[in-house]
Amino acid sequence: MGYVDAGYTIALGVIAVYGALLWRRARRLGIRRRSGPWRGGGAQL
Amino acid sequence: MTEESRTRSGSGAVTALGVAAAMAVAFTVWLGLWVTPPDAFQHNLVRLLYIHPPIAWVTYLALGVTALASALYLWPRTRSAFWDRLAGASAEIGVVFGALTLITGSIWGRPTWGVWWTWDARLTSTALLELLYIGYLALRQVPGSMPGRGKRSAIAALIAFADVPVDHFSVLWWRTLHQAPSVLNADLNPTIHGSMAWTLMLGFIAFTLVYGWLLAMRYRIAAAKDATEDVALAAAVAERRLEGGTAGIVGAKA
Amino acid sequence: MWRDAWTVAAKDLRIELRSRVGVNQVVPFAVLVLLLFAFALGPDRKALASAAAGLFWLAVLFSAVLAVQRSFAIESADGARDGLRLSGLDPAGIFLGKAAAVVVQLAALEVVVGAGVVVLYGAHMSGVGLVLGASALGTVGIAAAGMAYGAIASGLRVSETLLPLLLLPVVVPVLLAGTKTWDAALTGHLANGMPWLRLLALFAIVYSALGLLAFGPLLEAS
Repeated sequence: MGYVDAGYTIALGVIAVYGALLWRRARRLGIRRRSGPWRGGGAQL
Repeated sequence: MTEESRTRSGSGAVTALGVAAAMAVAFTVWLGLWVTPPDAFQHNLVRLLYIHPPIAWVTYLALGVTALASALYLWPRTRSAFWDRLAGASAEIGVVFGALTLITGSIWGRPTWGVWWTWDARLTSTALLELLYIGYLALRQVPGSMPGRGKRSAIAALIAFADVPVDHFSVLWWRTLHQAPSVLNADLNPTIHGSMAWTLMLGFIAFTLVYGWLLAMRYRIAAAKDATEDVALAAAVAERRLEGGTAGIVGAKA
Repeated sequence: MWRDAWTVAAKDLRIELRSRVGVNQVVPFAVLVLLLFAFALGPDRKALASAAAGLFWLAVLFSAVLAVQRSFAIESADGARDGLRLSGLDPAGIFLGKAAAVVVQLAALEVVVGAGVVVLYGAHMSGVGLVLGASALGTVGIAAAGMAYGAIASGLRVSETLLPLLLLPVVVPVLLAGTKTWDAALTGHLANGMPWLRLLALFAIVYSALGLLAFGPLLEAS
């Protein structure tokens, strides 16, 4: 069942990694938006 | 309140969608790998066909959404940054799933046809589609000011989309080779076991849910990026003004 | 629109006549590509003759990328693009004019490349009408798609690398159909070429229409 396992692993693995990357980036951008330099101390200008 | 919800990765609905997608995929994998019986002709290889057609479907769905969103962006009455971001987000997911379509198809083709790649019509036109949209993504990554960039991207997406049927049929004529998509009509095929058809159906639903969740995530990233650009620009403008000594603005801000 | 098209086409061709970039650079490049194909495939004249149709169209496609780039490069220097935009010329006319200029240049190039294919690869032209029809329709299609994507990519800093990536997948139908029609003409099975000739015509019409619609907004956008 090598081909089947390989197919499932690659397909689900790539989707999982891609999803995790997006999730992390979305989280980070969300956090940065609240406390980034322009909102926090540095942005008092 | 809205700021608070932005700090988490998603709103409640998106999180629920993500959980549902993960569960549906897990269920599909369980049915596909353990519950369903091996096929009479393809034996265990048929199990790849529970994920390959759904992934291919998501590819086409994603690129269709890109084309639709681009058209809505170009239409003056519905023009908004929403459609532009949606088109870009969907295209990126489409390219990822397109690559997976080619890879899983290739893995299925190797033991079935004996080769990793064959110049068959559907394979070839999917590969072309993939390249068309990689080009589109490359175009989107070029920095530019917003109304122009959005228009340019939308027009490029529509021209690429117009090419899809032409590419498809020319390749089809060029290489009329192999089987009709019998797997897609699994429920019409009496020899296919009932649980197989259900698994395939569930696969379509599961990967569509995954697409929805990824799209929400990708869209959020695009929106946050645009927003940070705006904020950074405003900050830079304010800084220049400060240098100019217009104290009034600082006072107003404070 | 037609008068504007004529004005723009005459301008582009006059620039070409004076600068001779096409004659001095693009045509030699196409001939070089023909030689390179022969080196890649080996000196077997039979193999070369059987691949001649495809190699002809590949050489034309690669040269077309250069021709399109050149066509937009002459607009980017000295702010010519802004001048074009402010000139009051109909954008559809500008599109047709620039596309026509590229068609003329590519047609001249195809004569050279075609002769090269016959002489170097020993291809045997039996259906001259079919060859001419396919070449004319295919060239119009390539030029129309090239102008649309040239307008999209022009003005971007990465346009040289972006344009081939955008344009070449789109013109694949021209490559396929052009090769099949030429194959039909070279092998003497003229009837095989007719459906492909129709595909070439369809492609030319579709991309001319898209270009006419999109060129105005694109000219504004960048």
